[in-house]
Amino acid sequence: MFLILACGSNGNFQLGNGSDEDLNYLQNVHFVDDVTIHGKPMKIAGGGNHTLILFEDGQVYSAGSNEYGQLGIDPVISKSSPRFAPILGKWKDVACGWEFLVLLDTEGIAWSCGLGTKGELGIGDGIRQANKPTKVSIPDGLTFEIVRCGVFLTIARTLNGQLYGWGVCRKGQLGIQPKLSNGKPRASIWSPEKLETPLDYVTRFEMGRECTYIEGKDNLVYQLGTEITKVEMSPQIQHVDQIETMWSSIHFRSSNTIVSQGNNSHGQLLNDTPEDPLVCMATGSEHGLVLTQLNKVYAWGWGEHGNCGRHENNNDDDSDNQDPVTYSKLNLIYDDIHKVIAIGGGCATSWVVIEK
Amino acid sequence: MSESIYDEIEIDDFTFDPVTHLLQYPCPCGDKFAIALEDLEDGEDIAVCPSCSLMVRVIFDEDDLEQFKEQLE
Repeated sequence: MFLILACGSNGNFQLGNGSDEDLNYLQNVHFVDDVTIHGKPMKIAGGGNHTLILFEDGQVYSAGSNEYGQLGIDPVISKSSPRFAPILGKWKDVACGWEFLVLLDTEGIAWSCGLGTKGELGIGDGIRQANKPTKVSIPDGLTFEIVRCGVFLTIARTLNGQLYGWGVCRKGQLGIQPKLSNGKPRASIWSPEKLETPLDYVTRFEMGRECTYIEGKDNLVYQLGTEITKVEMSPQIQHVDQIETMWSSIHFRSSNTIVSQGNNSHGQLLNDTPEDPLVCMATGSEHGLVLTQLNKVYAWGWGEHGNCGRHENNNDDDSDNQDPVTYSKLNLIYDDIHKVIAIGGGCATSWVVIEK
Repeated sequence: MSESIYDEIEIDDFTFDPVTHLLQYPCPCGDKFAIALEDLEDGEDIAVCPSCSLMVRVIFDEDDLEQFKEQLE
């Protein structure tokens, strides 16, 4: 059986553990129907104050703030859900933005709900809010394989590697935009549009807060922003095994090496090596997680809400330069016997799925 | 305390509420950075988060404030 553990920011019940207190150690999440989880959790997606879990059988559960209908359940019932509640239907992918969610049904049709004041829902011109999953305005016959959300935008990929996006685009996050009559670039896209990129086929894509990264079959990575640029890869990166973004940085993993670029205000750029080889990494808004082959999970970066665990190795040496919210070295958050099968990060939240 | 400025954000990316006079922008903790229009007019440029220690610097020109003043009655 599988268990989901979480810690971090919890002011709107986004950890789904029945409480709204932040947690600096991993604790079990709860489900409204009190199921012992029988399916395998495949993906955990964190929004500003809400979280989605996708299971192998296509069920999706959500917890946290439902102020704008971003849980995909009827907000008339509740403005928040302190435990994970089911969203009707079967789904093949899910993603969360700041105050919205996007679901892909088994046919590859996208649905969204919540609040998107700048086109994030993709359900038509000027439509800012939907209280329940609403069909995204997709041209006939177009279906998607995977979907990702940035803070204010969504990008979905078709089976043949083409990207379609909607939401905030002022900084070129969805490709170079035409200029408006006031001389500024277009700011919002309200229905899906194809992204014009240098790649014929996009293998992976990740969004930071103000730009988008895309990778092609040849392992070349481009940054879509005010201009389209090729990302210069560090010589330490032989082959990119994983690309993950925090809001203001990007992280490339090649085997056991992680190379980070971007904002380092709170130790976001990893400058530490774990004692044993890496299995995978995950990122949240401004922190990261790694799983190692010895079944340990470590966190780094901005950990003000307990999302990087506790500072264990201080030796009570409370020197003045000890910043209590920055974890510039890898900090152990899971070291138990049960096998970790997945890790994930949200907005100052950390997630560990174990098999018991 | 310049080391506690987490990032710089352009004013066009903030959301303005004409009722509270607040400009807001998402904080990575889940809450929102906020600064009052009047504080910007006074030359303040640091928006703070009510739930954590992070702060952002607002990037703007005096002229940028007109669009928000017009929304006030």
